Amino acid sequence: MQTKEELLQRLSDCVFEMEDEEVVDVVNAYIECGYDPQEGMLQGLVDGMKRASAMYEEGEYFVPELIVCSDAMYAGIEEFQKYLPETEDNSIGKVVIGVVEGDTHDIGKNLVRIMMETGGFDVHDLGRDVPIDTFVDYVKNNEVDILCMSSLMTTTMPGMSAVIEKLKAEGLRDKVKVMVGGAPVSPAFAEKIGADGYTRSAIEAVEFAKKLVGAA
Amino acid sequence: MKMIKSIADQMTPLERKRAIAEGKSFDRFPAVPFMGELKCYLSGISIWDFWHDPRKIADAEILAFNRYGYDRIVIGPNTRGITEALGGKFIYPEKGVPYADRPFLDQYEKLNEIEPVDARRNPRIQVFSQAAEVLMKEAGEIVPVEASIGGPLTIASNLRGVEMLLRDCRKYPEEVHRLLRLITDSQKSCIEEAAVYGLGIAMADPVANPALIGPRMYEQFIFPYTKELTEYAFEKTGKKVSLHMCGNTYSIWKYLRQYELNELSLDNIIDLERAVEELGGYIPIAGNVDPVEIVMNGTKDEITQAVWNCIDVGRKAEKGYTLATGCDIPEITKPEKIDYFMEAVRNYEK
Repeated sequence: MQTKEELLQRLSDCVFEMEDEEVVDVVNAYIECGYDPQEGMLQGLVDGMKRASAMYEEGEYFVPELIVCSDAMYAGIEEFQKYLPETEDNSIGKVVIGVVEGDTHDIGKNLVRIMMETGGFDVHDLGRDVPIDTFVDYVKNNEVDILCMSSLMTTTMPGMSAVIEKLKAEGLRDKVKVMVGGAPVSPAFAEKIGADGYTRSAIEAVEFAKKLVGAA
Repeated sequence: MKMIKSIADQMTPLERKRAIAEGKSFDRFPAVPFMGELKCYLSGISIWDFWHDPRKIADAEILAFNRYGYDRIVIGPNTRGITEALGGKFIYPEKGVPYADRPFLDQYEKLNEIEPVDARRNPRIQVFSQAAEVLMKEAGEIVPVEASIGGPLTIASNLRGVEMLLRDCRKYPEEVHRLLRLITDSQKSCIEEAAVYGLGIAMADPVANPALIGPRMYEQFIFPYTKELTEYAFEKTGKKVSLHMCGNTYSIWKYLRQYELNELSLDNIIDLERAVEELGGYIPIAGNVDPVEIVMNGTKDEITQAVWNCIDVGRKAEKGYTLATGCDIPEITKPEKIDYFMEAVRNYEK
């Protein structure tokens, strides 16, 4: 029988080395040994994704590698969830994320979603080309810690400001922290529209979000 | 609509290009602000017509040229037209920039049934051929006109969806190469068509950016096809390709300088001085005034200063220099901002 440490390392390696099929077999081997699924996800799968994001920061991995690593992570998580009871919420915070109206560029947003989930957040993804009211209604009707918005086009950036204004008008602005991002977005723009923060990359976004919820 | 040479210039763009090529004196540095959908607002035609009505396409180009007198006109088919000619779909909003609809290529088996585009017969490409014919009657003796054929990886991402395509580059590289072969052959047919009307070729491949795929994948998936296309375009049209590359491209410059290029135009985040030193000895370069912070949001003085700063640096490029914006100017920009841009290049003290 393999030790727990060996199997955790293999889970981590499967994600890091983009083995999105083999990972399922390793999850099953881990479960058959009777080890804790929650620990397998965090110390195994999520650890592999963190190693992948470190390689991305160093310019060794790029977006294709991150996508396939995350495929492996999610495949493993899905397998683990068969063995988890309908559990209590273990997330460190609730995030809602989307690309603003008129903009369909969502690769950056998807990377932020993956990294936020890797970082322990429960993420609800509204998708791309999201109307202003959809953001506002979601905040109104759900318990949300952080609202994340992005755009790639200069012409759609004002949508982020419109969401913040509408949150204020409905008395919801203090209920939620707001983070913005995207290639044309700058810290100055974030400040001007009254967001709580801007980050340059998906990895920085997670660190910033952890500070916002007091988990860093 | 009649095309007229700018009264503010002594030379036409074609006369200027010839004079520079022959090492003779010329009136001002060539300048190409990337106008994008702003031309729709100037001419009052819809985004749909700008991509579908040959007469209106030609009129929008002539109207914008008559006002500004810049040094090149670029029409489609572009990434959009070729995507559609291959079976993909685009959405043309009332306002704003057209965008790709849901990916058409949900499985690679579909490739077995798709032939490369025959530009001579394809009705989508013929829209641009008809526009080229109208336009060249007016522009032929005044200003260079190019047909954009987009870029292979960007067309592939329109057909497949960008996230799926990036995943495929890792998991199914042979299928990606099959798709890129089909696209490249379609683009070659569009090059042949452009040659019939005397047009040059423009290319841009925003998805083929090293920030997304890294330099190794650029070498594997982009370089061979783009090299083939630039060489084919030079052979068929007698003119070298104008290539625009968005974003941070330093890590792929060693590939870019191997292409047959009329110019490589660079994003405004690129250090033009470094481009002059490291690329200028291989290929002509163009750039790189910030289209948003300077052209759209800047004052007349800021635009003038930014234009002069760029020319001060760019003119030292050994193989030649064209003033350009770092990317498309947003369509909501006030039209007089481009007047200031052109005025600045005309007032530059050589």
